[in-house]
Amino acid sequence: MTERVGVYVCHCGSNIAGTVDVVDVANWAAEKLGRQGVIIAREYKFMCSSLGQELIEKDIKELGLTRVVVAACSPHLHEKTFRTAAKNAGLNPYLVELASIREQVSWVHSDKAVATAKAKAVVSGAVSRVIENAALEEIKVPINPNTLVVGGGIAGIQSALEIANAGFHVYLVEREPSIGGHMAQFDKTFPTLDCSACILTPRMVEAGTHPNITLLTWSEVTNVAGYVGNFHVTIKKKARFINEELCTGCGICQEKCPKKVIDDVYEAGLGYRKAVYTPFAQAVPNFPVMDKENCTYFIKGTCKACEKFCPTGAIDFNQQDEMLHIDVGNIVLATGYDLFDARRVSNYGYGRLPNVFTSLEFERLSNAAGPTSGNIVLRDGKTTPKSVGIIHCVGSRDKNFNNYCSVICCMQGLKFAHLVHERTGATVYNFYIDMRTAYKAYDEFYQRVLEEGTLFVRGKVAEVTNAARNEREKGKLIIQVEDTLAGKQRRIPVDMVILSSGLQPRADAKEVGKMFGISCSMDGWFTEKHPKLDPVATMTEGIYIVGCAQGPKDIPSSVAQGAAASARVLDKILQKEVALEPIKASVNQALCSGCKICNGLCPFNAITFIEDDKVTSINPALCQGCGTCVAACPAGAISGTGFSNEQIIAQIDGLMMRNLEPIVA
Amino acid sequence: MPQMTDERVRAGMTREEDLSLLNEVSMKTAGVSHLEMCIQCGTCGGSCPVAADMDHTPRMLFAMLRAGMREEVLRSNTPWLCVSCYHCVVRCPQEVHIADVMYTLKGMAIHAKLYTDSTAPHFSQTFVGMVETFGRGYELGLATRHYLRHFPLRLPGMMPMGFGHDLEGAYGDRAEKNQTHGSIDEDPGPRQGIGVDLMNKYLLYPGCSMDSSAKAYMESLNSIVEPLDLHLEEIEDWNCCGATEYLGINLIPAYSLIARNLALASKQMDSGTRTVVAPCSACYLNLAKADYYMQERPTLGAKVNEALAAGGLEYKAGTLDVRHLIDVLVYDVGLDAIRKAVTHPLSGLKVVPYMGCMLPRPDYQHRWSDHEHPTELDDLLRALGADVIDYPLTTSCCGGHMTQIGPETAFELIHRLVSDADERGAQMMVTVCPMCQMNIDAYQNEMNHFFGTNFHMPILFFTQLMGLAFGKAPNEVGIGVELVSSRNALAHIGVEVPVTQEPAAPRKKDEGLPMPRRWTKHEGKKEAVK
Ligand SMILES: Cc1cc2nc3c(=O)[nH]c(=O)nc-3n(C[C@H](O)[C@H](O)[C@H](O)COP(=O)(O)OP(=O)(O)OC[C@H]3O[C@@H](n4cnc5c(N)ncnc54)[C@H](O)[C@@H]3O)c2cc1C
Ligand code: SF4
Ligand code: SF4
Ligand code: SF4
Ligand code: SF4
Repeated sequence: MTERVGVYVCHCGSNIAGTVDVVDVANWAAEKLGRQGVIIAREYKFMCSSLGQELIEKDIKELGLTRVVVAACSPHLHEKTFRTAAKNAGLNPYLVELASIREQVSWVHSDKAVATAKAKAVVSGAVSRVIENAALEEIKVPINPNTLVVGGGIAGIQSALEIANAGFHVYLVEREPSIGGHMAQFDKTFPTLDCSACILTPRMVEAGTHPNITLLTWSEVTNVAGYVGNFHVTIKKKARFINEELCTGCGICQEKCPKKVIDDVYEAGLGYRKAVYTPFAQAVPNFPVMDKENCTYFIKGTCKACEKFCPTGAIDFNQQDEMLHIDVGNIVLATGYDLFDARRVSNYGYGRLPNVFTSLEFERLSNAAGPTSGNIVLRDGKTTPKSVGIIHCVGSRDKNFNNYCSVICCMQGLKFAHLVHERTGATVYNFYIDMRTAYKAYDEFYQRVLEEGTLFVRGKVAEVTNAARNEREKGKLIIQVEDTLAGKQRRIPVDMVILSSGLQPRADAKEVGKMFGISCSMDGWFTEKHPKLDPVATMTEGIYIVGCAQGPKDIPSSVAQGAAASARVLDKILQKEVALEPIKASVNQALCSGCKICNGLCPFNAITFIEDDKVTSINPALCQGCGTCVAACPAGAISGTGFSNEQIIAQIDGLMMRNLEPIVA
Repeated sequence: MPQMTDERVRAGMTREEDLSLLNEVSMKTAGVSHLEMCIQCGTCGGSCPVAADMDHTPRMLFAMLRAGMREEVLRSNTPWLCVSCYHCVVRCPQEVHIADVMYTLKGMAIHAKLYTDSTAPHFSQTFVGMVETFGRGYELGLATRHYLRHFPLRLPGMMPMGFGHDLEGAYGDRAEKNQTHGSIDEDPGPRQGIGVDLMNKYLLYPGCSMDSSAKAYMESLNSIVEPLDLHLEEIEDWNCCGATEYLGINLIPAYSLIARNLALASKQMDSGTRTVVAPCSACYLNLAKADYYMQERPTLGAKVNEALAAGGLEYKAGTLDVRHLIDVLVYDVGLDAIRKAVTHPLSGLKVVPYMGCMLPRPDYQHRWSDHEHPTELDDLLRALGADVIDYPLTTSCCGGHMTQIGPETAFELIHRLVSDADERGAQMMVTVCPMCQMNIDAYQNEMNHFFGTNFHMPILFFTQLMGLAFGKAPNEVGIGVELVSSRNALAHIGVEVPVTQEPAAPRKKDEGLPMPRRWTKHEGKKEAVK
């Protein structure tokens, strides 16, 4: 049967029509591609508008089109729109092809004649290909209503609570002994200066006691298999050496434990904890964990002071790591950020000059529950600084380190200026390149800090040194900077320097991303499906990213994303089943030689090897139709529905215009 | 990645005649300048050790370039004061090649005859003139000539330099260019036989100062090659690297001058090594820079090779490994081997390690532990048993050529270094660079006059201390020719330095100043102070 093909060329306003002669393309298609089955070719200002869609639907019905080619933008944008239109008119949606003449033609060329010629080739390729398309049916799979949230910072907590409140079960997995994330370390939060603990702890407690939330702290995900609606997840629950059934959280073990350890996580290295500990008083859950690396008993074989004193006999030195296997339908990743390691900027002296502090250290220093009970003092533990310099953009906006802006550190620098001012009365300098306070009530906060008398110096600090040049500088930290507004180099002696270190992706973000089948940007943050229109979804169905795992952001935005992802998850759960694209690869097992080359290549872990038959097989529910294996198979045993060899070759022939008269060179 | 001007022009996206002033400067600069990317953060102006004396901070200059203020920029003293310390370069968040832009601006200013204070351009031109005549530069003769022209009254202050360094020799022996260097080439014996471990073999680029102002460096280097089983083969017919001066005059000749040495060295690669070792930081940087920029900007590489071809030479960038002496000692020979060779540990000698600026920066090949506080020299001195004092200024600039063109500026920099070392209780400074050694040693007296201070801070080459620790006598490692005597400092560790010369008596404050002696042109091409 010869196909009846309709070609629809979109102007996209002037986006395409400005560079491509769309009328010419349409006329050419009608005239030259008739032999291919093109019976109608039209151009229209906005094909994606409802009028444009109706045009196509009408032609399908009235002219009996069996194939449709829309020459417009990238299929990423509107493939779905036109497929739906075809479906409405009674045509199988997979018999529609998009020819990208915007992203691949008009936006990348300036010469109209060349662009028009290329557009014709692209249309010709799509026409040849669509003829080889097969009518496909969507695959429906049921959705497991349980959800996994990885990371118990504010973003993860928010996400878990919203889903749990809607009546569905959530597993909240956190690798540290307590949930809370970075927010639990702060004293005050900008711009309103509410006490961080006061607003965070109720959420933590709610998450810890919620009947629909299974809280798994001191735990990590070790394996993920399956696909949207049906993920199988393995979680390692590390031994706490505390029997959670018996422990009442009285804290006697921590009190009696003789082993003091520097707390690099919660206290940012500025304070101590014991070998058996809960990181902070309001920890959720409040069972302690025993840190095996540092416990005297595990090192030397004697001690057990904790066991002796525990009133309920909850200490259990024989506890082992446990592997849990759970099934969930959707996964939210909320793994947050690491603080940039300021030692790398060696001209700022962190790690060499004692009174240079990082931002997280300062958060602990100013926190009433911190190591100095909120007294802002120098590293000697007693001297109150009389002058403090706060340096912005440490490790951010710097091609030597991280190229991006960390978003929160200007505001955090202003917050610190306010706190130092309020608590010590010291003279405060803020050194900045650009003041970035773009959000609700943020610039007002800047105004407030200006009003309080903070001295702002516009210039990226060149160095912090203890090499004094005169009496005034002796015994001080000297901040050397160009005051770019005064146009002059200045040396400002201060007692204390605070570095607004940037945020960076978790050290293990790449491996974690790989485990969940999602990718990271060049900078290392998890990549969203669409930077503007789909910021919490990923290219892998059923996996969502929220909070700082997706990129630097403040608490309000982290919370908003946590909630946004929950809405997406609930939407999926309530649909009860999910339609999977039928674009899949499959193995012709008669051709498969069992070489296993494809086995490790699938980014979605869809390929398994059947040992008994010595052939490879692809799980259609897992396969996302990326085509990697198809290209890799040396035996040509794998082919893809929606991208069969026939389709690809036809498309190439079309592009080369081999379907027309032979081209004379 | 945003398109740099260079690429845009090459791709025909921008016509050369439409270039803005900023783009023009960017195009004329070696390597990819990234000048277009400046975000006016001020890191450069904040880092610059000589900013106080500059008409404009580097950042301001770049803003003025953007604004098209050609005349004002080319009249600014800023490029002339730049000491090429590369502090700004490694710190600039946008990777702007600031020091190289300064060279470009110097060249443009000379060309446009816009820079009016003649001192600095004259120094560059004197230097270039000398190199073009003699093939090598001699800081001392140069300094003398330059002082006579510009600061006649200062000359007496630097006269003591003449005692330590053989002025006549520097000019007189030019006929035989490639003298052999003591034990370095003299004993080819078993080394060239079969079964020789070529691991320790290197091509040596001595640089001009090694047989003029820094003879002590050369002598002490000779004294350690044997204990450490090092084999250094001098590059035949090498020429001056142009120091920091040539780059400002004319880009292609400057890079060709440097690359000629690389081309010569690459001819000697068949002797079993591709590593060039330079003991002088400025030479090391120039050689490394030429190698790097010829790769980074292939058009530069092609032009340089065109120039080299005239002399029948060719250099394929990236063929050689350019390294500094201390790099080779710490990372190839290794601290363990050095520790083993120590027979007379320097325990009790309080030293500050002074790396200088051009060695760890800009560090094209990522060789150093850090740009700001590298620890290689500290580690090495510790291996010798010395008491190493933490010295925050270890990579600050010694003043470079500013001793010649803006002495007050240089005195300030020398003062910072010496006073901080003194404050920290150092008995001496230890350096890896002839220029640093000369500035801090030869100009310390004048600096003291200038500030009314009385510092006595000897500065020795690290190889001199290695020699001592390996059991050599002071005179075998060139100790005794330094102007700020190390005798007292070395007495702390029981090393007796024989008196070879009377230290120059400091000039009394109210003493009248003698008139400088007149220039006379000598027979042949030689010029010397009579
Ligand atoms: C010094 C400083 C001050 C700040 N002050 C403010 C402020 O005043 N106001 C404001 O709005 N914002 C502020 N911010 C920003 C704020 O910290 C973040 O917006 C917020 O904490 C992001 O929350 P999150 O849940 O995305 O990440 P995080 O708080 O980093 O939480 C991530 C959680 O995931 C866990 N985790 C990570 N990897 C895994 C894994 N593989 N498996 C299991 N668990 C994992 C972590 O242990 C952690 O508990 C500040 C930031 C800094 C650095
Ligand atoms: S056994 Fe370990 S955890 Fe318990 S008290 Fe002793 S050191 Fe602390
Ligand atoms: S938010 Fe401010 S301090 Fe942080 S990187 Fe951006 S500009 Fe720099
Ligand atoms: S440091 Fe770099 S970006 Fe900053 S002002 Fe200087 S040249 Fe511009
Ligand atoms: S290289 Fe050194 S002297 Fe030159 S501009 Fe940069 S900081 Fe200043």
